[in-house]
Amino acid sequence: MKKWLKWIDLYSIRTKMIVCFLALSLIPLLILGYLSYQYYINDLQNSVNVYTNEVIERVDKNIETYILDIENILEIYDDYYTIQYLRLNEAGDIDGIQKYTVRLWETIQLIKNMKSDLVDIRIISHTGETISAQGVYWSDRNDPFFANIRNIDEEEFVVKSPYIDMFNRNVFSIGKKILSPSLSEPAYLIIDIDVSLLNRIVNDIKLGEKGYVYFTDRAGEVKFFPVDTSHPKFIKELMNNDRLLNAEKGSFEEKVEGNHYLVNFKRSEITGWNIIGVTYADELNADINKIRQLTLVIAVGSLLVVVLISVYLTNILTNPIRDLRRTIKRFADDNLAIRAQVKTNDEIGQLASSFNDLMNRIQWLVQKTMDDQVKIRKIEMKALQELIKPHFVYNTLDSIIGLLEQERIEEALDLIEALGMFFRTSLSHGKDIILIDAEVEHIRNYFTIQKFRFFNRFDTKVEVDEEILNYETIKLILQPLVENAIYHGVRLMKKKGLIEIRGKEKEGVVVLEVIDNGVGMSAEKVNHINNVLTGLEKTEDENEYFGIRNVNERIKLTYGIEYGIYFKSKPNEGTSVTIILPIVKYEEESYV
Amino acid sequence: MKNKGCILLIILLIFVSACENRQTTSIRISKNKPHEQAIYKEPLPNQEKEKIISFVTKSLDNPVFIEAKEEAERVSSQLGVKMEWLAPMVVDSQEQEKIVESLIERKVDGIVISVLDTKKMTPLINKAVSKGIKVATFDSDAPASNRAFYVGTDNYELGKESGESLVKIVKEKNLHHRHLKVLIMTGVKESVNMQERIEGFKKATEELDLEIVDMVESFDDINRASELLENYVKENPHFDLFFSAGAWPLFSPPEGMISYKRWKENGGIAVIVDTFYPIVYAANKGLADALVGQDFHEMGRLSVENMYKLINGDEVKETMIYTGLEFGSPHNYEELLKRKKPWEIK
Repeated sequence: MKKWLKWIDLYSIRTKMIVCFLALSLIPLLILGYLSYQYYINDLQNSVNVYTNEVIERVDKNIETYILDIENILEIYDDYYTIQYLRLNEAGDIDGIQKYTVRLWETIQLIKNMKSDLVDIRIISHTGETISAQGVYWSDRNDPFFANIRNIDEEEFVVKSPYIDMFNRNVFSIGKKILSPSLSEPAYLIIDIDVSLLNRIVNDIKLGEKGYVYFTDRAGEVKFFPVDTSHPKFIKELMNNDRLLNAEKGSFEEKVEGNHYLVNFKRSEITGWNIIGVTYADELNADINKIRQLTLVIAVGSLLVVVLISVYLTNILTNPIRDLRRTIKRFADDNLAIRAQVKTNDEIGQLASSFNDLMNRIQWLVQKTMDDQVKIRKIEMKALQELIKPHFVYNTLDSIIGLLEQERIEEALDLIEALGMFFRTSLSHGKDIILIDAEVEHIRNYFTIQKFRFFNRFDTKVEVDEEILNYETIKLILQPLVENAIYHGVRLMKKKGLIEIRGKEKEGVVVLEVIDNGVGMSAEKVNHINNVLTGLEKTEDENEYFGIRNVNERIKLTYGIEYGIYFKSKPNEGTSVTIILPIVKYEEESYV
Repeated sequence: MKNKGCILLIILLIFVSACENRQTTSIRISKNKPHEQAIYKEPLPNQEKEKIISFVTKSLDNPVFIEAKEEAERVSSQLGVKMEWLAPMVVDSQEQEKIVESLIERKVDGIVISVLDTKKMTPLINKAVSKGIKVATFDSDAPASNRAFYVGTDNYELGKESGESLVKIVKEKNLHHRHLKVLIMTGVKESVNMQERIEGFKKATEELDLEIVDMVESFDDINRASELLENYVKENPHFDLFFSAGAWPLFSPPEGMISYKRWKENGGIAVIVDTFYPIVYAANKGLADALVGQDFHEMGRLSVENMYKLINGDEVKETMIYTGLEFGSPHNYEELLKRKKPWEIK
């Protein structure tokens, strides 16, 4: 669990990269998905509209074709025999009419057999006497259909919407009038057509699962409805829809009892009926839902794939970084030998390579520091051994004894005190770094002791600026130089010598000087010594210049090679040794 | 690392292929059984002014009823009633029943039916009667029904007279001692009038040694009947006598009946019911030895007259109103042809 949590570290580059990848790939994906989804839905609705309109157009064409066929029959029927029959009928010639009656029956039968769905052909005289395939009978002259036929031209015809006729046949009719100079009034010729024709045209059509096509007349009455619908109210509402009644063609959406319907319609020119296609919107919705689900599945799938790819790519990119981090951590945990395994040639590989260089350098430095420390310790030990030489202690103690024998108690006490102080500062509680103040104090004690030992053959002078007293220095750097000034400078002088200690801050460094007015050295010697100190020359004897080399090396080891000491001297004028130290404010704790 | 890449690629491929849209049609067109819904029924003709008597015959394409129609029309116009003449175009008992149903719905005043299927028509007649419509039968009866009367030939008598005519000819030809094979043609076997004619025929020919070799049905189809007979004779010429209970086979032009003619020339004896012009014409050409005709004029007249009485509240006492018979033989064919009108129908 913890590991997992660690794995999804929110602030890691890996997380950021995954988020970036996801954003980069998902945003266009989602936009694309949304747009195509919208487009598809629009397209679907358009397709449904176009399809329904095509269907309606086809239905219209089929009906038109059939009716024009029927019209042709109407034309050929208006012949001699029909006129003769009507004429004799009008004349009441019962004897003569029989021949024509039988003849008409025969032709009606012939045409009925020839034309599918043609149920009957009726010829109706002005009295209402009708001859048809059913025989001879009387029709209601007041039928508005006849009035309609009366009102049109001879060449035109009238379509009567589906109805159930006298003989219980489900038909629709097409009629025209028969005019003849031999008839006192027009007669009617009517062809009845089985609605199963409409059924055949319309019933095979399914708009979706439940959608259908039906007809209404101009008044909005359903005249033929092929589907057994359980929504009579729905039909009623749709039929009385103004849009449907007033327009020639169109489409609209209608909500009836919570159900949405897409309605397309067209007015058939030849019949005047409205052909209406009804599609159930919920079916469309089912399709839309399907698309929505599909889109969702694609989106989720894409998300999954994108996440996997992101994780994969991120891993490829961040694994070296994490390897590097692990390496650094282990390195930090003191495993200095470890190195990053450079595998790639990219920036990370270069980083790892640079890192390895850095490691090498650090390891080298650490090793060097450790070596330097060891060296410093050794030199210090030597310096101490050198400074507190037994004969120095012995001589001093001898002097004290001499003073005591001479009962110069005060002087003896001073000397003892100076010696005590001298030892204390020499040891400095084991510290390597001390205040310049302490170093100067130490040298004053040393001066007290040495001046007594050399019977005040030289004077001393200490001029150290107040402000540098609080800076640090490594201990015991002045004493060897002063010792040199005494033994190789002023001791050999006939007159009284002078040893000065100066200290000041100059150009960003601390400058301490030990100046004597002793015998001095030749220029070659000074050069040689300085070259030895800067490492340009080597001494053949290890103990040669031991004191000054010790001081110089300790300064360089502690503060760097730019610091250290150098000599200036002229024969018979004296020698000056300059110590350059960095300005470092003394902080007691750090050097415990 | 390479493995991971492969797995990712496979997942990607599976995913992409899963997204492929294989279902391309969203609009389906399915076929359904036609189902239509009756919406509106035409108002029935206004019948208040004049009374209507509707005749329902066996078929329109059988011209035998034309004579009855003509006479019925004449009488109707004299009496001032409207007459209708309804029938299926070809013989079809179901169609006939439908027509009667529609008349019951229309509540015509009187129906006169020439029954095709007695069993099925009887309850319909009773239904019409129960609705106050006067119903009679003509030509073909439904005796068990509640019809008011029957006008038509006494079919038993017709059959008997036909049988007697045959016996007479057989005797004239001196064949009456022989065993004779007879072929009978009927309309529809179930038809009562046909059964009665055949009964009468059998009764009249009892004295002869007759064997009925076959009884073929014409189904009242005048177009098929001659072909039926012609084919039968061609295949089975070994019968001596032919009795047709109706005139169906002789409506067709006699020239076409070669086998029958040959059978006739070889001594076959034929007696045919009905004496319409084409029948007499054919008989005169040698296709029949005797004709016994019905009086369709009389049928038309008596039907309208009696129905008129009924719908006007008068009583018709007789339930069986028989019309007379007409006899034809080679002796009077010419005379009959002169008297009758030639049909220009077929």
